[in-house]
Amino acid sequence: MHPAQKVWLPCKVSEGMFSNEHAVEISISGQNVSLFADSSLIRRIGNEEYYLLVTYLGDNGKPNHKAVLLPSECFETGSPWLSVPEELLKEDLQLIAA
Amino acid sequence: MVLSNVEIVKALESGVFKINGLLARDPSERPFNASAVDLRLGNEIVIPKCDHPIQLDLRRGGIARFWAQNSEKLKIREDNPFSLTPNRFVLANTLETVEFPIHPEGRQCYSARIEGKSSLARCGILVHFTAPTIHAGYGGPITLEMINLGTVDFLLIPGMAICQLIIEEVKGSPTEAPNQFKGQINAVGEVPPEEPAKA
Repeated sequence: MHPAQKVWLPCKVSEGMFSNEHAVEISISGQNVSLFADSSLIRRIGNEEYYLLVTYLGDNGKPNHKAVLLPSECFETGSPWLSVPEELLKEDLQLIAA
Repeated sequence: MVLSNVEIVKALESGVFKINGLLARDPSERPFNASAVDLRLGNEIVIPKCDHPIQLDLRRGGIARFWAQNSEKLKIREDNPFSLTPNRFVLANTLETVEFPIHPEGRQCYSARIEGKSSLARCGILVHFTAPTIHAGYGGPITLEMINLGTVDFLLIPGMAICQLIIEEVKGSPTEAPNQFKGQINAVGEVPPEEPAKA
């Protein structure tokens, strides 16, 4: 992965406020954040597995974690930046679906 | 530095950012102003609602889901517009969608600001009141936080010029992770994993 690359992050989704968006919830280490994201940025794999398209930024000084930029800021933190375990980030969803 | 109408068109043609659905590309005509481009109102209005007492606590999870469950979507048409009454708050989207990508280091990035239009301001209509910035990295429609501070009802008609987009260069690369994570205890901050709000 390289800075500015688009990658996929697992999430939960539900209906959004607008028709063209979803409410997205991301759980990292038992902590939850939520945001709204355009539906075009969300992919479903199988029946229940959802992924959100985020921008990879790089190291953030925390072991095995990477910083990503979310499509909009989270309600709970007021920030669009998120530190996530590296293993959660997927470059290619087709590999998961296969 | 704020881009002029001519520079906006040049940038659109080079593809460094996008405004999808723009009515025209002639910088001397509508929807362009000298240093901004007008965007139009989309065809959906969202009315936040809550019929029971709630105290919202943003530190708790599930806030997006809470608002989605406590709002009403309304489709509007030219022959069926929405009447925004005084002191009423609604959300809307721009008809156009924007893309302000973060480019790899060395390539110019852009961000933008939404501002109201003087014609609507005279009528007391705010189209945003606290969150005007479209950051580098954003893509999608622009959400408008609208309120009528005027004295008379105001019709929101899809396709009407509703706001102006002012585009600026971002100096430096925004791809470096911010320092806010250094020394952080957990991944997302101190967020209790509980319900979004209490009665």
